Order: sequence, then structure tokens, then C-alpha cells
Amino acid sequence: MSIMSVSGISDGTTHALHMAINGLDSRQQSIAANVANLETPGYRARIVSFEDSLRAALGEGDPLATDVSVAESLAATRANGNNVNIDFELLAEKENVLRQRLVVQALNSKYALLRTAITGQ
Amino acid sequence: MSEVFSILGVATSGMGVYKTWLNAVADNVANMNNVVRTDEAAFQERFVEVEPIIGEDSLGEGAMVSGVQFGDPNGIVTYEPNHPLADAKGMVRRPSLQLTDQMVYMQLAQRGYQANVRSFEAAKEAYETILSIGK
Repeated sequence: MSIMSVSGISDGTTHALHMAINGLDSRQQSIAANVANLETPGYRARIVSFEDSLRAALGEGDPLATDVSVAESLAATRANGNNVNIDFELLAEKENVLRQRLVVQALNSKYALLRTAITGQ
Repeated sequence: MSEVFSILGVATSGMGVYKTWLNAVADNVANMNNVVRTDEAAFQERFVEVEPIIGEDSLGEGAMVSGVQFGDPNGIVTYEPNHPLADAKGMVRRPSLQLTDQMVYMQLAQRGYQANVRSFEAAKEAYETILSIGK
């Protein structure tokens, strides 16, 4: 993924937050797809992970190297071969929305600092 | 993940699947008492086939109805000699579908639809959050 970078505006923090929003968006989509396939025979729930990769990428100083990976859930299946757990999905969905809000808030705080620097007030 | 606001489409695909299922169930229940002559096929129960849509990056993109399967055309032959459609032996043919099955399917389809509506609302909330970046 390439992001236009203006030195002084975009830095490690904004890049990390950007990648976090990206990962959370993928997770939101994956949850929606799991809910859509709640009763699809043979469907295995998909789980999106990016946090570990983001942490590692941050450690190496290049948050843009974050990788979003999708894995199939290994949870026990029901008689129709499906293992989507609706309680889990709806909970994860709500939590994901809140996480996204947290990241956006952090990003906005960062931009507020920049705005202060630019306007001097 | 290509389109803007694609998650709304994912949730909508789920709603579509469960609505189709509800339609099939309603059709089954509406026709459950159809009586025909023994030389005709009985009303066949409708089963909806569904399959997941998987994107290039193996991220799920929703669900879709991939076809319809039909139940047993033989149905159940019952003895109703006074029925106007009865044959020489007093037999008529009825569908073999069970109302109890249909009620269970109806509940599953209804709950599935509701879950997808919830998912749509959560996606909307997430997008509203993202649109507030920089405010």
C-alpha cells in the first residue's frame, strides 16, 4: 500500500493509525460476511488479524509494512458444517466500531496538533 | 475490499439471502394443503441454496442464493374417497412437507435477516466514524 507522504504532516503515528483503520475496516467487512453466511452450509467463519503485524511493523519503524491476514475459524462446526457464532460476531462488530472510533479520535487529536502548529493559535 | 462503503453491500447480500429463504418458506406454507389427483405431481417443497462470496484477498464479500432445490414430487397419497379429486380407489395426493420444519426455517430466516440489519447499522456507524476524520 502506498500513501502519499508529506514530510512533517504524515509521520509514523499517522501511518500507524492509518493502517489500524485499514485493518479494522477489513475486520468489519469480514464480520458482515460471517453474519451474511450465518446459515450457509459448510461456511467457516473468517477472522481478520493485523495487530501483531502492526506491532512488529512499528517495532521496525515502518508501520506501512503492516499485513492484514484472513484465517478461517477452527471452532467446532454445527451439523450443517457451519461454525459462525452469532453472539461472538455481533459482539465483535460492536467492539470493532468502538475501536475504529478510538483510532479516528487519536488521528483527529494528531491533526488538531498540526492545525495548531499551522495556524499558530 | 475495493468499493467505497462495500460493507453495506455485504450486509445487504445477507438480507437478500434470508429474504429469499423467507419467501420460499411462505410459498411452501401457502401450498402445504394443495391436493391433486394421484396421476399428477404433488407440490414440491422449495429449498434455497446459498453460497458464500469470497473476494480475491480471501476476505468474505457476503452471501448469495445459488439455486433452488425441490422436494419430493410423490408427496403423500392419502385415502379421501369423498374428495372430488379422488381416483377410483379413493386416493388423492398431498405435499409431503412438514409445517414444523417450515416454522423452524421461518425462525432461522427471520433471525438471520435481523442479524444482517444489525450488521448493516454497525457498518454505517463505522463509516460515519471514518467520515469524521479531520473534523
